[in-house]
Amino acid sequence: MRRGRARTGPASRALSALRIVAGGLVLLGTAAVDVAAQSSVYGVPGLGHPGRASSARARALGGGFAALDPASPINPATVAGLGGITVEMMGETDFRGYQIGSVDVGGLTSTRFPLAQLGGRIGSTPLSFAVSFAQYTERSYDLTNSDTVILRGVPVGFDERITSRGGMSDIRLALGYRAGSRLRFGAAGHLLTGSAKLTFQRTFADSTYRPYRIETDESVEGLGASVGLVWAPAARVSVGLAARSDTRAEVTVDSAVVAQVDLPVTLSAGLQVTPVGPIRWFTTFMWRSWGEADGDLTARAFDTWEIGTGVELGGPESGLSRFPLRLGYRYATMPFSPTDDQPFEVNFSLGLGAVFAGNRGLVDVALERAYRNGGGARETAWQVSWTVTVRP
Amino acid sequence: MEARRTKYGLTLVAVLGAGLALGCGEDLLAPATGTCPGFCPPEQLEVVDSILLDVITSDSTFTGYVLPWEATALQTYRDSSDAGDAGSRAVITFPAFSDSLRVGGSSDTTRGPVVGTDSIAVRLQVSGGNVDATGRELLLYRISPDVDTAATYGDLDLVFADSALLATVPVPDSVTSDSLRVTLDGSAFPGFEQDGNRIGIGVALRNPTGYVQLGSVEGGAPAIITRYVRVDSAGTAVPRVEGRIPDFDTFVGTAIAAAPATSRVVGGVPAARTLLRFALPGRIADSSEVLRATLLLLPSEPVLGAPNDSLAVIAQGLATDVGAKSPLVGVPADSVSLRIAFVGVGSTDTVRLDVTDLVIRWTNDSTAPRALALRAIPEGSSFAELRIGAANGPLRPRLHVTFVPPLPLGER
Repeated sequence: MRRGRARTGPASRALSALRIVAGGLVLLGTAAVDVAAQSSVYGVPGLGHPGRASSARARALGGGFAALDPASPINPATVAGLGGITVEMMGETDFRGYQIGSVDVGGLTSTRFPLAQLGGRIGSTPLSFAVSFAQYTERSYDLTNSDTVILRGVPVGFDERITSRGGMSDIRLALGYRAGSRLRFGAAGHLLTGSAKLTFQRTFADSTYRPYRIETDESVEGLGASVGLVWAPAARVSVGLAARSDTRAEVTVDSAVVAQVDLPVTLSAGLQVTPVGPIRWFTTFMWRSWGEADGDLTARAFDTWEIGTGVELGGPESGLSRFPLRLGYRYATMPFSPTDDQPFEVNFSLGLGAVFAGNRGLVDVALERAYRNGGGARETAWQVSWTVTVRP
Repeated sequence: MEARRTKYGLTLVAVLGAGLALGCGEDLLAPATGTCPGFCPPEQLEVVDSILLDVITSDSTFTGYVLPWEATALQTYRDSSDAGDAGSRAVITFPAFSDSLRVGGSSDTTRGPVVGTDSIAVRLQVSGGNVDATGRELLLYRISPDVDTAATYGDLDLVFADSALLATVPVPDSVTSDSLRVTLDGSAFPGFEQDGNRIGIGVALRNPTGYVQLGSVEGGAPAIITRYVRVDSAGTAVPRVEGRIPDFDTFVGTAIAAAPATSRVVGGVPAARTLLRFALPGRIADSSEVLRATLLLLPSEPVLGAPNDSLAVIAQGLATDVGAKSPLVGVPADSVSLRIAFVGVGSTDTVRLDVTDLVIRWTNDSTAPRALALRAIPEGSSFAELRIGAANGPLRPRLHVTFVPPLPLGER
């Protein structure tokens, strides 16, 4: 009784509003920080390295949970599974190295905040909403180069540095509808927006040639829409399906459109099976038509597909352990390559989850080992990601 | 319960905030050498090297910026090819010496008449010259102290006669900056009193292949003349000293043929400047980044001047283009050495002046006059004179520009 009054009182509503505002600020802060990171050497060609839009829990499961995960903005129908107001935020740190020909680079690190979401049920209706921010593509790099050019008949050495900081973000507004206990629908609109700070500088060994430096900001805009459903045909089985279509991305520099790139159609399908209480098995398949952008880019673009699968053991509701253990595997082809050889990525992952404060605070952590290969490069990375979820 | 949840929520928000603040470090720097072009952005820097032949739309030569008696140095030389008929001489006059001087200390204002001159010392400041010359000698002549700015080399030729020779002063080999002192007898200037206690000296150089620059009042290193006298102090002659710096110093040289209409002039005496006005192609002026710009000057005849002399030519931008009196823009300290070219007398080589910062200024500031002035450094103190082809002739100046066209960042 006392809790009921507290929830409906003006002070409580004000407090909830403050929490929502705080959550929104966290989302905005996340969006601002995210544009300064790099996730792969494969982010240099094309539009960059596609983001995964998966929570740390889904990542620990090899991405197998992504199409059914309310915390992963892939299937808008999963939003219908949100209860009260939920704020979540994800962070990721990676440690990378790559080989291209005889060039062997290691010790690259970056930290980013690729995913954040605020959502919840709308009153006592069967509708839920979610506003999320996710990394769509990322194109951050910092490359140095030394060479010689013939100027005025004389070879002149130079050092060059090319940097990009930024990428595209996917801001989604999703609505989910619970049609009974076994079926959920959802639809979402996506605003694809982003910017990058680009610099190009060259310094000549002969100081009579002035250093060259140009710095500019590019912006990228696009739109998208997605629909999805989650269906539980049996008590221990859930299926998730989603489709998404994005428009062309317009790359603008100094008010001039310098590139237009077709963005892909995305089809996702996920399956969750719970053979026994403490064990849950997830699989998600995803296909994206990145190949449509092939004619728009200097680099080659390919359709991509990926499959991820994972097992979750335990968890508070299982009665087996309070902290669920997750294992996962993922195979994915990557969209952009400088050659006709399409790169691919393999991930092995494991993770843990923890619940605090009477299920009002959740922390999920995932550790991944990524192997990327193709297009003339090889890359390996350790990726640590975490998601903090708050249910005020 | 509510307070507890609030505490948890705020704690988590604080943790997130700390993560935002602390977790933004990155280390992305990686070599691209060997990875391009595959894993490099598609943008490739194009560097264009172009010699612009018709970039100068008009030119003008103006003279008289520094007159010989305003120069910071006085040039003396002889041209061996003319066996002494061609050359330059310095002319220096001093203000009147006193008839009486103080006989006591600084607090004693009692003056006594000068009753005799024991000696006269002349100190000349050498401020330049060719270091490879040997056996240089300065010849000191007695001349009229009434010489003025109208005097020419021919007018004074008779004055520099052997009968007026006062002294011969050797110039040590390799010396380009030193003071030379010569002491003359007190009777060296017999017309001293008739000239109102004034003295005039002329300085010529006896050396077939060299030149010597003497300091001037304007250059801060004038000749100094010191008179050692005896003053009557109550019937006793006491020694006193009185010095003078010039009230007029100049130099005169043999006439040089005027430059033809197809030439433009830099340097010489009186000092000449040439103004060049540019019309940069739109491709460079509007959208390119200039890496280097070099002005190429083609001499229309060998550089004139004293044997073994050289001319320092500088290009300076104009603050505003109002013709001969256009105010010049200062040269950035890091550009001075590049903006100056040294040209030897007799040379016909192309003169190269780095004007990179000037051209960059023109491309960045559309209101800046796209013009420059060529002048000598210092002006008016040397007969060295560069004559270049006019803008409408075959030997017109060129602009060698190395630039980068717009780099289309953001391409995919």
